Amino acid sequence: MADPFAVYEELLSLGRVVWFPALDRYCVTRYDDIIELEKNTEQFSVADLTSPTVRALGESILSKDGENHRRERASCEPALRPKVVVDDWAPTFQRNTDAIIDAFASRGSAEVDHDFGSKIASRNIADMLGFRGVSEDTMLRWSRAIVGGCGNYARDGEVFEACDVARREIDEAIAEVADDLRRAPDASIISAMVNTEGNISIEEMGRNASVIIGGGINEPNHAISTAVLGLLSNPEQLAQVLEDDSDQVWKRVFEETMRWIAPLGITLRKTLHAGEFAGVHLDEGVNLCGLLAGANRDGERHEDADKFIVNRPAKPHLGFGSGPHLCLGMWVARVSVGQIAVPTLFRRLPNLRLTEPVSMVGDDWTNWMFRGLSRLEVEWDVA
Amino acid sequence: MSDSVPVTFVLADGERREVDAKVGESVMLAARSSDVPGIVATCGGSAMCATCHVYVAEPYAGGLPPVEPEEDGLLSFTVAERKANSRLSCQVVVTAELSGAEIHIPDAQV
Repeated sequence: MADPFAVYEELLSLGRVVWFPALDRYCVTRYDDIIELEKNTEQFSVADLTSPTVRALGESILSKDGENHRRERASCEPALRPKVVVDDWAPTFQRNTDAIIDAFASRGSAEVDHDFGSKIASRNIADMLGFRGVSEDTMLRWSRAIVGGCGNYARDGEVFEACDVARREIDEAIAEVADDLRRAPDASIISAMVNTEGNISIEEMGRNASVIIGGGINEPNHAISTAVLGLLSNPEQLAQVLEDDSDQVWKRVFEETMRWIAPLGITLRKTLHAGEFAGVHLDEGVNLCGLLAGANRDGERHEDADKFIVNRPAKPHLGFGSGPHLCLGMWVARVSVGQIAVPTLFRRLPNLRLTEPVSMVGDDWTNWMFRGLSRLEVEWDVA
Repeated sequence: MSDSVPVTFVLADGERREVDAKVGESVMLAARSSDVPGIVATCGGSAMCATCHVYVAEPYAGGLPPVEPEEDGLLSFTVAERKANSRLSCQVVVTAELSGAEIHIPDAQV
């Protein structure tokens, strides 16, 4: 598979709004313009009823604007605010991380995506939703079916069918815990949804839980392997990070990971009416694509933008998007991946290293929209 | 009664920017619509990102409506030090009482 970052760089060099035939869309290339694209909900909408995302998930928070979006999103937010994540969920994340490392620590080698990242993200999200009885394998199957459905531009019937099965099972899992959580609320996401003042229907809960299972497993998993790759490919930076080993330095590692290879590479919008934007005139109904991952590599914003540099000056990036659709799991990711999963892996596995050199392009990388490694082999010293 | 009131943003380097802030809008929007730098506001005003942190100078800070629990929780996650007069500017609505207020922008939001 081609290197998307080379294409992003070319699009960025061509202008602020650039027609890209391969996507059949105008690409928005620069940070400030993408911020405006995501913020200006009067001009730009996420609602595109023809998109595979809507076929896969129905009309979820991913494809609603304005007050409807606000109400549904707000129903999940109590469980995802940073104070709740740190106070109520961090101990669970740490326990899950240690248990998953325990399973392979004595082996001396592992594949990060399969053995670590996907399991951590699956367990953490299952627990956060309140699905204690659901296995990591089931969570992962659901997540892959949902992500596959959302990206199913080829309209493959089997891909949508797998997504439909996952959604039915997710609805059943919610129904199983909903009554208990109404009687005895806890810090979980389903508890927040069923006890919200916003009056969320069971169908809305199912659709939005599916969004959370899709993105909440896929993207943290990719962020974990990208962070591990970034550090293991830069031994001097790794040594400095391990020597420091503070919350602050791990925060920089994580934010740089999200800037370097944003797990969600692009964001889609449609114009609601004709108007001016970023120096061009756009008709009504024009399809746009904000290049989040590309803008994060803009050399005018970030020096040596293609390099993983933990100590670069802190600057806002688009690794979580922005505006009303800013990643709902941003604080969960910062804590569960940035402060717990990645640091714990390096602390517990001595002399962690790449088993073989890793190419920045090729079959081990997933597609453009959901960018990450599907295979990352590592080894370490075993006493 | 006027539809806007003058407030002064003091940037981290000491530069002062007096702007007309629209009554009823948030202080965050007042800063952004006048291109005052230093307020990032990644989430656009839904109290999720903690990147629109400001210090409201007294006596104006004490006259504001109290910090709600959501804002309070997020203020623990600002990059610059939280002080007694720390607020998230997206949660502070411009009122006539804010006329003449001095609002300091910290040196870092991320």
